[in-house]
Amino acid sequence: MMQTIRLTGVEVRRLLMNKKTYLIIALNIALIALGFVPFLRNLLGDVLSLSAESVTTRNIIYPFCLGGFGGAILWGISLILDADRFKSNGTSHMVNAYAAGKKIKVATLFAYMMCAVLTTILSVLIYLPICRARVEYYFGLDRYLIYTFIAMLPSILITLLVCDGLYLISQNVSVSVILLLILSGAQFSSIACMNIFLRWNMPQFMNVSDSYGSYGNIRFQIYSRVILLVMAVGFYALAAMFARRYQFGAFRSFLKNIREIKGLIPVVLAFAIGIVLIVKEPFIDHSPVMAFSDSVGYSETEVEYQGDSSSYEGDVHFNTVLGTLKGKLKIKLTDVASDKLNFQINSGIKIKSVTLNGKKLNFDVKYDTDDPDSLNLAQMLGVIHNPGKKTGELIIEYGGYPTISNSSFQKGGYELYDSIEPDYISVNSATLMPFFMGIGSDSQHIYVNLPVNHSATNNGLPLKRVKENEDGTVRYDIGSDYPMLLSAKNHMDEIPYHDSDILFEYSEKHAELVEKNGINQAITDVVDYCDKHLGVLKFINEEDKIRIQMLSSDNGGGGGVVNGNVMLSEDMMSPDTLSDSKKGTNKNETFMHELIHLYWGDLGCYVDDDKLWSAEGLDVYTTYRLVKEKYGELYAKQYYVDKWKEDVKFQNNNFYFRHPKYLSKLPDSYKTSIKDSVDGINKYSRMPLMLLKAEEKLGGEKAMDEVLKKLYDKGSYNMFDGTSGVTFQDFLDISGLTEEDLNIDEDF
Amino acid sequence: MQIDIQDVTMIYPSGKKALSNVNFSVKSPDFVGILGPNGAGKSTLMKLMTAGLVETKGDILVDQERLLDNEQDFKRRLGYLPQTFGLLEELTVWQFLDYMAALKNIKSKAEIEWALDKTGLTDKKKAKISSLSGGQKQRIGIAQAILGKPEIMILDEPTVGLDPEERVRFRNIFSELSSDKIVFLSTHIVDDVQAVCNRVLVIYGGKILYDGSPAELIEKTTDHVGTYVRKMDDVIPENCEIVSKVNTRNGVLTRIVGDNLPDYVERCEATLEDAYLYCINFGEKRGA
Repeated sequence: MMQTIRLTGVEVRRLLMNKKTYLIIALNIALIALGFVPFLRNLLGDVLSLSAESVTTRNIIYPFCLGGFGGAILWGISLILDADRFKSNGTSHMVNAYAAGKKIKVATLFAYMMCAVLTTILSVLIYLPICRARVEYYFGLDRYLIYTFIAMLPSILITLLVCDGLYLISQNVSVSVILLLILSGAQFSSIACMNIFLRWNMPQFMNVSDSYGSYGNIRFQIYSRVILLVMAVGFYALAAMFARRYQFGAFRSFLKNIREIKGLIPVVLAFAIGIVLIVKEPFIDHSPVMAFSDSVGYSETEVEYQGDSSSYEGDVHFNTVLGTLKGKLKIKLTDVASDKLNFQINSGIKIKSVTLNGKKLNFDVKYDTDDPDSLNLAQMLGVIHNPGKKTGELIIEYGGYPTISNSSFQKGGYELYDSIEPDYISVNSATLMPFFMGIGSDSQHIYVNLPVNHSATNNGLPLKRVKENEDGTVRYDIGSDYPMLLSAKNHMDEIPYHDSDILFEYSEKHAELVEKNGINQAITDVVDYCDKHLGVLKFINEEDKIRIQMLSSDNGGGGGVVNGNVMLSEDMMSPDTLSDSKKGTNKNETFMHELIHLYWGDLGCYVDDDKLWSAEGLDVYTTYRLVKEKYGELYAKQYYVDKWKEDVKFQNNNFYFRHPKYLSKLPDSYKTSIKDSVDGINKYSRMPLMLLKAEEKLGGEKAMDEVLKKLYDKGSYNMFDGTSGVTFQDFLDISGLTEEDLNIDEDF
Repeated sequence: MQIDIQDVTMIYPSGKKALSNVNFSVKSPDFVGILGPNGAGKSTLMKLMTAGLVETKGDILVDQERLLDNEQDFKRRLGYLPQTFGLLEELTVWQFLDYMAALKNIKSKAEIEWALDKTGLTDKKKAKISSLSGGQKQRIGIAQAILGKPEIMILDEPTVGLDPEERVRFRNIFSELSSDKIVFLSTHIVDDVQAVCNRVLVIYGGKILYDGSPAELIEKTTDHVGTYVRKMDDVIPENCEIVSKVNTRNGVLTRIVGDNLPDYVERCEATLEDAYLYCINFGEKRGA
């Protein structure tokens, strides 16, 4: 051991004496910079399969993932060439006479690993000021260090182990390098993209939150990297069994080496640990079916009556460091319809015991393959066997780590539907507790015990504070029969609105950004304008204040309107989004746009592609009108109308737009990209132009406002419940215009 | 230290038989010269003795124990200079020797200084190996072999590439170091063996033709060496091998070895070179 350590020191010095080492270090560091190039960054977004991109992801994760991947290839090939040089120039004859070849090989490998560590440290230091400047408001040194090391170092270390192993087996440079390139390329195949553990030197990284800790992502990444490192050690130890002995070839050397138990131990140990870690990994749902439905939508499900209860009480505690929860659910059953009670539960949450009046009941938990939506949400179907349909106090104890749906990999990027972190807790109903549908109750209390510095809501509604616990947490009563808990360490602004307030909750890291961009003023401007032109918000009173609440972007981004409260993914409030020219030009115009969704419904509520009709288009037009009033006609024309026209012209010039029959001949990726572009222009430019034309036809803004007011009045009550909202036909009926009147193509 | 080579046969995986039933013992101090033509099996024997190869048959014992059972222990006592070797050119001389010292588990830096001194490389210790001449690189090879004053030194063609003065200097160093050690010196330069070895092994076709002192080998060749002046049309006597030819005014003064020299060949005193040539051409075991 001591000799190996000393040899490693000597090997490190040997490498550091070589100019090539410095060249590789420099190239590796330079590769990180390529991650900031927009084109490559977009490519990385596709490779890493992210469905949302935070500022931190774009400016830290992407570049360092690229640095890790590029570095892995550079260092890997260098190690193979070095190993071959020892053999081909005869140095190995000399050195092998003095020490076991294995020790020297291990020392060389360790030396390369130390160089990789050194490169990573240098990279982290060199890019610190750059990343700090780019990530701006959200930068945190601790998170920077964690992300950079996870993104870069393991990839290189794993690759070094694999490369050395490949050369030990093949003893051939070309074979080893080709295999390295094939294995590295294979991880970008669609099959590998579905399994994070196949992404061995280019991690399928996550979108990390700018505002919150993203502990769930970090835990998952560290765990997957550890598994891959352990497996790589196993592969290396196995490859060492093929290390040539004396005059023998690979096979006879293997037979000789395998007799030595001490060489076999690391192989068995590493693979055993790796397999156990894979089998026991707590993060991914192991549904037998890779379910995939585009949206877990608003489908009406008929709830079957299962029974009745006099009391329904849950008590849930969170371990925010480990990301686990444990809870107890007590249901006092007064009537039972069947000898089986069905419930849904996240596959990571395990039922520990079920008792009825103190006696244990049997239960099964399995996947419901007939219900793709539940599989999509990593949920399982639980059945409690209650022979004789007995009534009484049913107690269920449970706990665990919420899993991620495996179908989210199939979609090309995983999302954390549930997060339990020190500064952020977001859990769905079937994660919070075994979720029974069809059991009525006169009294329902779901108690959650949350960190004292959190503010929490259930489906956007505030929780009832019960008491402060001795352990420093605060006990709240959710009270809802369909709990969706969101609890975060947030800053809250109260913006006056009529007799009430609009509560604006955002992470402390956003405080400066909110102030700099005048977001609170933007909120006031929006509600003032919309109240005047469309009508007041319907879901607001003194008790039930409107909340604009920030979500962590590691749940996939986006947002929505729930119970009239806006839940916005933090990426909607990032500096980049705030300056997204598609939605507005001034920094807070994008935010205004998002708020207007409170009036027109959100993105997915109603879309009629054939008629160019969508909530988004109504929203863009309203934003334009607001901006026109706020900044003047010239500004609105320049940054809105002219831009819409430019976009439509661009779209009309697109060959595939003009000849859609050829679109089907393109590869899927191009097809999707063109279709996305067309959809975007339809929503953000074509429809606003159509509404502008309607405004002209109607005789001006005042007349248009009358139409919109009626439209809003008609649609506002069903705007957020998944029904069609306001339709194009509604608009035609109210305005008295025809489709022909609104044809904008004649203007181009 | 004692090394016993017992009935060792070495057949390569390709089927080539390199050594056949080789037997000999060496006990320190002993300076053994190994002579033999190219392909005779010298390097194979040396690789076997450094545990670089494993014998097909027979045993190699070190202090009565199988070499392969105590490989690591034996390697700590070894100094080895292969016939062909590569150096780590990016290192300085000192760094390379320090690297080799680490491999040999030598902790004292004084040992490195000593090896540098013995090989005349002290003033080059900070020089990059890539900047050195072929002879200097050969000296580095020797320096690493003698580093730590190993109990057994196996030197395969150590003086290749050295000028005559250096060659003599080094063989004297080897001799000096061999006072309490075992040294195997494989070479084509018979003079080197004659100058420093107390024992010589002659290998031919994978077999040991002679194992004894150089003097005895020379003694055996008495009456089998002679010279004569050869005219242009004269044929070489049957069953004789030419050792040397020198052009003179009277013809070519030819030195030959053979079992039965013709009467016109004037007998002369044998050298080790004569004896070696006689041995590999007319030795008792040849062809056996």
